[in-house]
Amino acid sequence: MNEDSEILLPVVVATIVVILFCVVMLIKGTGPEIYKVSVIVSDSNSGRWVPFKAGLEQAANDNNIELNYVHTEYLDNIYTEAEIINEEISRGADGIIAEFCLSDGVDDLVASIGARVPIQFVVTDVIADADVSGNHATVAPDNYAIGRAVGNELVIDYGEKLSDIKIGIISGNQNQLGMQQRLEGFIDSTKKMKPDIVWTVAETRYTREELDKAFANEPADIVIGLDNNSLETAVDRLSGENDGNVKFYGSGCSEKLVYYIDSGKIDSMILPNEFSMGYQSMSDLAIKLQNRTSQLVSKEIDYNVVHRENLFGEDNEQILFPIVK
Amino acid sequence: MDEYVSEKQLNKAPGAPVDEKEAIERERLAELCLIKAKKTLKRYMPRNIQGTILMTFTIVSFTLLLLLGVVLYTLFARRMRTSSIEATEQLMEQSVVNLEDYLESMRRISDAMYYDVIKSSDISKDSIDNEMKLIYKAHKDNLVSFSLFKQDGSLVSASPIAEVKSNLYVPSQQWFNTALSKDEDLHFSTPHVENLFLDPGYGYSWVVSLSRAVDLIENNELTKGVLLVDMNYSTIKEMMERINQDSTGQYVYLTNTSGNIIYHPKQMQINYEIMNENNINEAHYSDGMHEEVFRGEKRQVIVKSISYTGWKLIAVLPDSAYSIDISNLRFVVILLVASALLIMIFINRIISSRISRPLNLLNNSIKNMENGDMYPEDIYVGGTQEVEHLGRTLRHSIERINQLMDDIVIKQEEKRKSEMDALQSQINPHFLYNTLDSIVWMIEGGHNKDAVFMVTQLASLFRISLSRGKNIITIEQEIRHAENYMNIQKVRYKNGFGVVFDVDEEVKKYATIKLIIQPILENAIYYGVGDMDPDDGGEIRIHAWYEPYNSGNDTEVSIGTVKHDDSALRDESGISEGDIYIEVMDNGYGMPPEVCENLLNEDNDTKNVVPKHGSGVGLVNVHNRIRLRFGEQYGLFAESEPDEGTRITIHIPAILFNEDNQKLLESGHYRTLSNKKR
Repeated sequence: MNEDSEILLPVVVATIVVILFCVVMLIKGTGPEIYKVSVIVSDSNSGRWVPFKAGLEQAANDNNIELNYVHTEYLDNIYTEAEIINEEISRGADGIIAEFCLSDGVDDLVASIGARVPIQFVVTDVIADADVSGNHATVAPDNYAIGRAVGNELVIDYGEKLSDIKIGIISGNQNQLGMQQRLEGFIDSTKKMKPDIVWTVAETRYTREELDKAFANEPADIVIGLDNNSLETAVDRLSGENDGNVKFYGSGCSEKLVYYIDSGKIDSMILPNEFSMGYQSMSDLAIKLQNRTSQLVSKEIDYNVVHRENLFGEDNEQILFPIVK
Repeated sequence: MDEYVSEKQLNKAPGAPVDEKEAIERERLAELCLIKAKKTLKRYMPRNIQGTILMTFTIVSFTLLLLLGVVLYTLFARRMRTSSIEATEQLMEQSVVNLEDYLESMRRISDAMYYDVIKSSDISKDSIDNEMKLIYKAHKDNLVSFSLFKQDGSLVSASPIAEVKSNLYVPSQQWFNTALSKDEDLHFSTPHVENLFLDPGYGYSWVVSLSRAVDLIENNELTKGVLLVDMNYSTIKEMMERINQDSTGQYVYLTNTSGNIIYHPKQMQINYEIMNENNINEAHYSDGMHEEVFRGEKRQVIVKSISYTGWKLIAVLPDSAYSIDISNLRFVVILLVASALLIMIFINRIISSRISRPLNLLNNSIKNMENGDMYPEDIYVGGTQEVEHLGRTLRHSIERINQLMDDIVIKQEEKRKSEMDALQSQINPHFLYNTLDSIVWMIEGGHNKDAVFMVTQLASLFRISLSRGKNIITIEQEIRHAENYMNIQKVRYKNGFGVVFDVDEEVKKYATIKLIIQPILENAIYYGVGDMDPDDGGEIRIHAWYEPYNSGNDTEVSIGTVKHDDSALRDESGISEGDIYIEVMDNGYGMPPEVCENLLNEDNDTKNVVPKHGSGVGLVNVHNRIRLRFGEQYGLFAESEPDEGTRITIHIPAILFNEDNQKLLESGHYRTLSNKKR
C-alpha cells in the first residue's frame, strides 16, 4: 500500500460514514411518517357528521395522520363514489374511510381498493369476499339492534295500542346493508304488536316527494326515520301535519334532531356513538398504516337512547356536542 | 500450559464431591475462556509501532471524545429540560394572568349588572332588559347569554331575548342551587351545554356559568334571585388551545377545585376513557412543580391556582416530551463525536505514520543488513533526532564492520601469502637442489643444450614467481609458469610422463592469482603420474577455456557433467565477463571417492589426511586463495576415480587483465564489490 492510499482510505471511509450518519439523521430527524387518510361520506357537510368528524379529527391528531375530509354531495351512485375514492388514492391517500352507498355487488370494487390501500367502512357493512390480508373492515353500530331499539321505544310508549296506530317508515338508503338491517330490526321488534305500517319510503334523491305522496295517500300517526336524514326529513316535512300530532321516532345525531327533541317534536331517538365511530375507524387505520402486517378488524360502536329528559345528561351531552380541539 | 494445569487440577480430584467437581469444571472453563480471550486479543493487537501508536492514540481520543460527548449531552439535556420547565412556567404565568383577566372581566359584568342595574331597580315596575341588552352587546363575544331569575326560578330578564324551553325547571339546575346556597360568592360552573333557551338556528353552545345570588326589589320588598352569566366556553377553549400548541407531548389543562376538567386538550379521549388523566389528584397539589409517576410514566406537573375561581391550571411535562428534542440532541452529539473521532483517527494515522516511518525505514535497513547487505550508504539516516542518531551510529558501525572485514580479508590473504611464501621457501631449496643437480649432471654429460634449456626454464619460473611482488598475473603468464615447471619436472622425471597444454587463446588475456596451477601439477606428478613407468603412458593434461555468461548453464568437463546454476554463480560485479575453467587432469593412480571428497576440506588438510610429500603446497591453499580473492562461488573442483586418474578444475571469473583490475584484485576489494552488486 503506498502512502497516498494510506491517507486516502481513512478519508474516504470517514466521509462515507459521516454521509451515512447524516442521511440516517435526516431520516430520523423528520420523525415518523405522516400518512394521508381520505374520508368519503355522503353529503359530507351534513350536521349528522359533526360528531363523526370530531372523532376523526381527534384520532388523526393523536396518530399523526393527515386527514382529508372530502367534500361530497348526496351520494347514491357507487360508481361516482368509486371515482372519488380512486381519485383520492391517486392523489396520495394512504388509507380510505368510506360510507358505501351500496353494500351488495361491490366485491370487485372492495378488492380493487383493498389491494392498493386499506379501507375502513363506516355506518354500514358491505358484502364482500373474505379479506385474508385484513385490508378492509367495518366500524359501525349494530344496525339491527338500532332498528330494534327504535321499535322498542314505540312498544314502550304505546304497548298494545300500537296495533291501532298507523306507522310510516322512512327507511334510509335501502341499498345499504345497515339500513336493511335497521328496517329488519324495527319490524322484528314491533312484530308482536302487529303495527299497521302504512308505507315505507326508502331514501333517494326524491325522498321528500315520495314522502309527501305517501303521507297524502295514507297519513301516518307515527313516522319512523331509521337514519339521521330520514328522521330530519320526516320532521321537516310532516311535523305540521295532522294538526301537529304526528309523532316521530328514529335514529340520528345531528344538532337539528337534538333541537327537535329539545322542542318536543321527536319523542325518542337512538343516538349511535358516531364520535366513537370516527375515532375508532381512524385509529385502527392509523395502526394498520403504521404496521402493515397488522390486520383491520371490524368493530361495533354503541348507542344511547335519547329523549327530552336525558338530552343534557353528561353522557349524551358528550356524544351530541363533542368538544373538539 | 494453563490448559495443562487446569486439566491436572481436574484430574487431581477424582474422588471429589459433585459440587466440587462442577466448581473445578467451571473454573477450568473460565480459565479456557480467559486464555481464548487473551489469544484473540493478542491476535488482533497491533504489533508494529505504527499500529500501536495509532491504536493507543485512537483509544485515548475515543475515550476523551466519549467523555466529552457524555458531558455535553448531559449538560445540554439538563439545560433543555430546565429551559423547557422555565418556558412552561412562564407560559403558565402569562396564561393565569390572561384567564384571571377574562374571569375578572366576567365578574365585572356581573357586578355592573348587579350593583348598577339590579340593586337600583324594582323589577315589578322597572324593566332591566335594555341595560342587560346593552351590557350583553358590549361583551357578546365572550358571552352566550345573560339572565336574571327569581328565587322561584322564573325568568326576570334575559339577553339575547330567546324562547325559554317549555319544560325548563330552573331550580333544578346546579348553578341556581349553588348560587343560592352560598349567596355571598360568585360561582363558576364546569362547562356544559347551555340548555335554557331554544335557538331556532339549532345552535347549542358550551358555556361556563357564572352565577351569583342577588337581592331583588319587587314591589319594594327584598327578595332573592340569581344572576346568571353564561360565559362562552370557546373563549376559554381558545385561550387554552393557544398554550397547547406544543407538539412534543407536554400540555396544559384546567380543572376546578374538585379536579373536574374544565378544559383538557384530550377531553373527548378522557370522556371516552381512551386516555386517563390524574386530574383529581393533581388539582389538590399546591402551587409549584411536582414530580409524579402516572401509569408508569414519570412526569413533572406544574400547578398554578387562578384567583376568584379556585381553578387550577396544570401543566404536564411527561418525560417523553423531552425525548424528541433529546433524541435530536443525542444524534447531534453522536454525529459530532463520530466526526471528531474520524478526524482524530485520520490525524492519528498521519502522526503515527510520521513517528514510525523513520523507524520503519531504519528497520528495513537492518533487515537488509541481516540479508548481507552491509553498505553504510544504504542505512537510513533521518527522522527525529533520536532515530537519526541511531541511523548514524548504525552506519558508522557498518562502516567499521566493513573496514574490519576488509582488514580480515587482507590479513587472511597476507597470512596465506606468507604461508605460501614460507612453504615455497621450504620447497624451493629442494626443488632448486634437484634442478641444479640435473643441470650439473647435464653439463657433465655434455648436454649443454639441455642444460641451457633447464636454466632458461628455471629462470622463467622464478621470474614469473616473483612477478615484481604482484599476486595477480595474466593466465598466459600462469600457463607459462606451469609449462616452465613441467618442462623442468619432465627432465627430472626423464620424460616418464607426457604433458599436454590445451589452452584457448582468448583465455590468456584474463587475470588470475599467480601460482595456482603449479601446486596442482605438483600434486598430479607426486600422486599421479610421477611414479608410473614410462611404458604406462602417464600423462598430465592442462585444458583452459573461457565461458561467457550467456553461453548456457551446463559446463561439460571431462569426467561427468558439472552443473552450474548460472544465476547463482554469476558474478555481477560488472568486471567479470564470464567464467574461466582450468582443468588439470592426470591418468595416474587416482584416489577413492572419500579421499577425493575431502581433498578440498581445510580440516582434513590440517590433519594431513592426504599424505603430502614434495612441495606440500596443498590444493586447499589454492582453493582458499581463489575464494578469498574472488568469492565463495569460485575455487577448485576435484574428481577422481581409483586407477583412472584425477581431475582438478580451477574456476575463476573472467576478468580482463589491465591495470585497474589488477589493482582492484590486488587490494582484495573485488569480492566486496561483487557481493554488493549482487
